[in-house]
Amino acid sequence: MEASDTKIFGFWIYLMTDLIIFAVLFACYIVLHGNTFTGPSSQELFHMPSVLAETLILLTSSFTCSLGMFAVHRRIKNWALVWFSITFLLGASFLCIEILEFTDLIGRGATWQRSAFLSSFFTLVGTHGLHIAIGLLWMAVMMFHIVWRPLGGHTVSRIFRMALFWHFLDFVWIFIFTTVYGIGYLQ
Amino acid sequence: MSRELSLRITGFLSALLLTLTAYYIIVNPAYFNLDAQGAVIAIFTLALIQSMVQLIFFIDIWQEKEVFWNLAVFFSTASIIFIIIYFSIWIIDHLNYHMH
Repeated sequence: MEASDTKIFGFWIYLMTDLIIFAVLFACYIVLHGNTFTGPSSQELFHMPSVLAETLILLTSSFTCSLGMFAVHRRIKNWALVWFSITFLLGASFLCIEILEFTDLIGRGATWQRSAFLSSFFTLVGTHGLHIAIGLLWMAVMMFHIVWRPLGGHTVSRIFRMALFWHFLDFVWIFIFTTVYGIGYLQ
Repeated sequence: MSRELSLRITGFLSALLLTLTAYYIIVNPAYFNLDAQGAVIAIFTLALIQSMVQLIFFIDIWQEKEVFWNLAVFFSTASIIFIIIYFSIWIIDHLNYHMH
């Protein structure tokens, strides 16, 4: 087993443990989402068009990230930078929409202290948003690596792990879209 | 166009289609002749298909040399997640039932 394979395997195990953290938060949300404590319910609060925008932005960013990785594997620095910049901008706009959504909810009195439903909602979606913020920071650092360093085995392996992390966040978002917003809006 | 690139475009387009279908089921279940429960089952099925699409087309861990161990860790995690989510809902549902 080569060193970079070991690192990717280790990172894969980290991602799987992170998935368990999300699973626990999902279980909390599913159990608590009816407990609104006379406060606003999920159907009154969620604005579906902006959720669709977030979903499409994250999905497209996952695609552009895979195109960036495609360029990295072929050692084409310019295209890698172009695709990762697009990915970064899409990720940043996702985060902006999410922050606007949160400020809007808080402005309408739906804070995390209001009910068990809102506590579990902010914890689950907020944890995902925090991961996105960390992913953006990592992506920015990797873009500096692409500019300043030769695309050798170590750099490629690092960028590969960053791309894996980014796809993982999109993977988790499918279930947030379905469980939180889908069920929340239907019931 | 290389095979790798066309795989990614296929993955992206099918994920896009699945997302939009799920969205229209959520906002207008009556159009698809679905009641609330049917709509929930439908969007969960779409989510499972989309997660498979993303695992196959985007998360390209499967071309590594140690693919067996990656898969082993993935499936054991999936079973842990199933236990956490399914049994949490199950036990809380029963407690709720006995409290009434």
